[in-house]
Amino acid sequence: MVGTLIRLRFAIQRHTPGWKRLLGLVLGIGAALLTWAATLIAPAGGDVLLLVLAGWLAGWLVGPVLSSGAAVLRPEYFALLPLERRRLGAGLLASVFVGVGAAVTAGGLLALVGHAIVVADGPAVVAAVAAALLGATLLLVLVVSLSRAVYAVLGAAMRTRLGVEVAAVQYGLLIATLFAGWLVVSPVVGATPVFLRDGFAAVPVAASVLGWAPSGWPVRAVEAAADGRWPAALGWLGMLAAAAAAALCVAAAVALLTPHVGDRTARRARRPLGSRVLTGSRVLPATPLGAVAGKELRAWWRDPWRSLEVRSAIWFGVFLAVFGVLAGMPRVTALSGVAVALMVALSGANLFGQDGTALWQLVVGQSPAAVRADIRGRQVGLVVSMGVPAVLLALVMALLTGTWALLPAALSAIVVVVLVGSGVAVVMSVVGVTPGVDPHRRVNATDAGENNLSIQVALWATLLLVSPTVVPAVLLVSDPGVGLAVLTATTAVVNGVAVAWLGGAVAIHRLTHHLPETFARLRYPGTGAGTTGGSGVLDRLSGHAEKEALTAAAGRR
Amino acid sequence: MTTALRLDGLTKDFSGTLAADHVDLTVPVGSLTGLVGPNGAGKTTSIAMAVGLLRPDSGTAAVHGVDVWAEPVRAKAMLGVLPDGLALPERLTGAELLTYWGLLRGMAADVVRSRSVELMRILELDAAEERGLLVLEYSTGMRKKIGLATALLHAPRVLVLDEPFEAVDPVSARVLRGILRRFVAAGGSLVISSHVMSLVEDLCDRVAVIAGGRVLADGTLAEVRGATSLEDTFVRLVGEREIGTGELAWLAH
Repeated sequence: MVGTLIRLRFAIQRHTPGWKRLLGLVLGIGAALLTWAATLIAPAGGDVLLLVLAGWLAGWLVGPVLSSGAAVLRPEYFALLPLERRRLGAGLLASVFVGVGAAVTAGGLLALVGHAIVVADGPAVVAAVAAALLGATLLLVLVVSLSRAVYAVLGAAMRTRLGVEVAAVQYGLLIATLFAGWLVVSPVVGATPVFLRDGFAAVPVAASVLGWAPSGWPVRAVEAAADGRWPAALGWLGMLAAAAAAALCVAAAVALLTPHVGDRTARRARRPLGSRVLTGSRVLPATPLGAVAGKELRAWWRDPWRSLEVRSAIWFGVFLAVFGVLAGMPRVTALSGVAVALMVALSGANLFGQDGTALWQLVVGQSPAAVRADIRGRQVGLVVSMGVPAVLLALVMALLTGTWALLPAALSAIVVVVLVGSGVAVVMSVVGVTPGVDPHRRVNATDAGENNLSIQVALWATLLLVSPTVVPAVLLVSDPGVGLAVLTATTAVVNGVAVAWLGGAVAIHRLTHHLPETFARLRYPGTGAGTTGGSGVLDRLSGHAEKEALTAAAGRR
Repeated sequence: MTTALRLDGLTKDFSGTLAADHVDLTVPVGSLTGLVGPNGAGKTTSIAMAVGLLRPDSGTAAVHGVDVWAEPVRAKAMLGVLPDGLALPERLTGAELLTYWGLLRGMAADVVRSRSVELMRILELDAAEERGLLVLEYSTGMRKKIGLATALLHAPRVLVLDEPFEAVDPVSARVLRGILRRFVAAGGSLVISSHVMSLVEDLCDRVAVIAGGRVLADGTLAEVRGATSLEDTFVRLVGEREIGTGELAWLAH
């Protein structure tokens, strides 16, 4: 069965775009070579290896969660086959070990052998190399199994609030690193030559922390073997073997890799918040706009894929603040609320796609009032569900770091970025509409359908369109004063409301004229039924976004 | 005889595959028309074009004389639609969905509330609502029922239902048939698509057979089936794949 699964996996991967596989292969080989080079060349090879192996471990833990390709073979595919669940789980796990990722990782981990040759001399070399080979193998098993287990836990966890939170922390960390990683990286880069020479001599605690992590155990075993301390070497290898075996068991046997065909949501103790619409009193106005806003706010609150967007945005802001503190720039913490606000445009760049094919309702119930309400209601939903956390986070950060002087500028920035983002988001949602997995079939964190092009355009458009407010805000930061604060706040509100209104108007106009085509992009992707046939800027952007979506969909399959 | 729904030369080519090829159909006011055809015959595509969900390459459709593609807002106001296999706002309860849908259509809040209560009770979805079940957690049959409720809520003049009885239990199916007969008796017109011949024979007074994207036969039930059963007529029109005596011999135990 394992052989069949492996062949199936390769067959599916053959149909993914070639450049993606190539890029992955090149990056993997590069990382493996760097591991070897660092081990052999750096004077403090042992400490460097500790850090690099921890990097491999972290990469395997985070990587599959963030790339949709990890779920090449989904357990659900095999639910109806008369296979024992444990055997299926074990087979799926085994298929993961046969692949480019595991191969380059093995190449990188074998740098342990190089380390053994460097640190041991005389007859101890044989023992050290043996310890290195065994250690590398065990570490590979541990790393790959742990990765699968974490991935499966997260897939299962999209049904629980806690699981969404864990995924959100990972996304938040990733986004914060992309945006502001340089804050932390630049001191690290500056310190690299020193680190390669001295290792963790300056911070011995780091060496002991990394040495106690599972990725450090084989390094310790090799060094013990090289010194002739046999019991210690065997002890470290034994611990590693036990950990690898435990991870294997967890991944293969705890039924995480086996299909989930039960309830789609975790058991609830009570009715969803705000669901007594037939007996309770109505909070929002009984108008089309109130109806859409109510539906959207419920979706942002109840849908794990939407919550993931909100929670990731919050964690992005939190990590940004942490990076600022780490880099010795506490003023950066004032930007954490703005960071959350910036995610409005990105999270909302595919609102219709997030709803699956539910857009049919608007097509069938088409009227000028309904289309207007749909766009404006979605804007209201975005502004409330992401704007409120942004403001709260800004207040909390000001409280924690005492940067009250920066608060007026930060709040003005949040207002303008949230409002502009809501305008950009609805335009991109209509123009770049991208199908995801239909909501009742979603399992993994990446199933909701994302369009990289739309997200890029949304980000840059937002940054461009808030620029009128940036000028007074920057002046306010450098020279705080009541007059300038009032000017900044006024500019922010006018700037934000104008773009939100204009973006909404563009989206309403476009959706009104291309309603069936927009639906066709979701319902009949790739058939040409969703082509609008115009030649304006939005039409061309729309065409590019559709191509991007189709390429991404081909990659997912 | 006035016309409730007219499909006029509807044609759709999906990148080389002709899903519908000049589909013509006339649904008289007050009739219950059944659309039957094998899998992939073009029923769903034709329905999607008739109700304004999919723009046809050529041809058009009209509801009570109003062109669906020229005056979509007026035409769609008279239509109630239940598509097959599409998503709904999944994180709402049934009653929340109906409330959202009614208000979006511009209905008054008290009308929406009283009709929702009545529809949920008749369709036996009130217990699920009491438990706070989300549409996402509904079974396939329950999804069909809440979908039918959304189609009925604004009291349309023409109902177009794609596979309304699929996965619906026999008791609920009786209730559904009762609702549909009541709707037609009150002056409405109905089009359903189905694979189940006996159901179409029992419920409908008119029938159209679609295969390969073309209408092979349409008219009253008596005209189409003649002296035989609808299934025999259907098989004669569509063609039958005979199973030879030597085939599938390995199924024997």
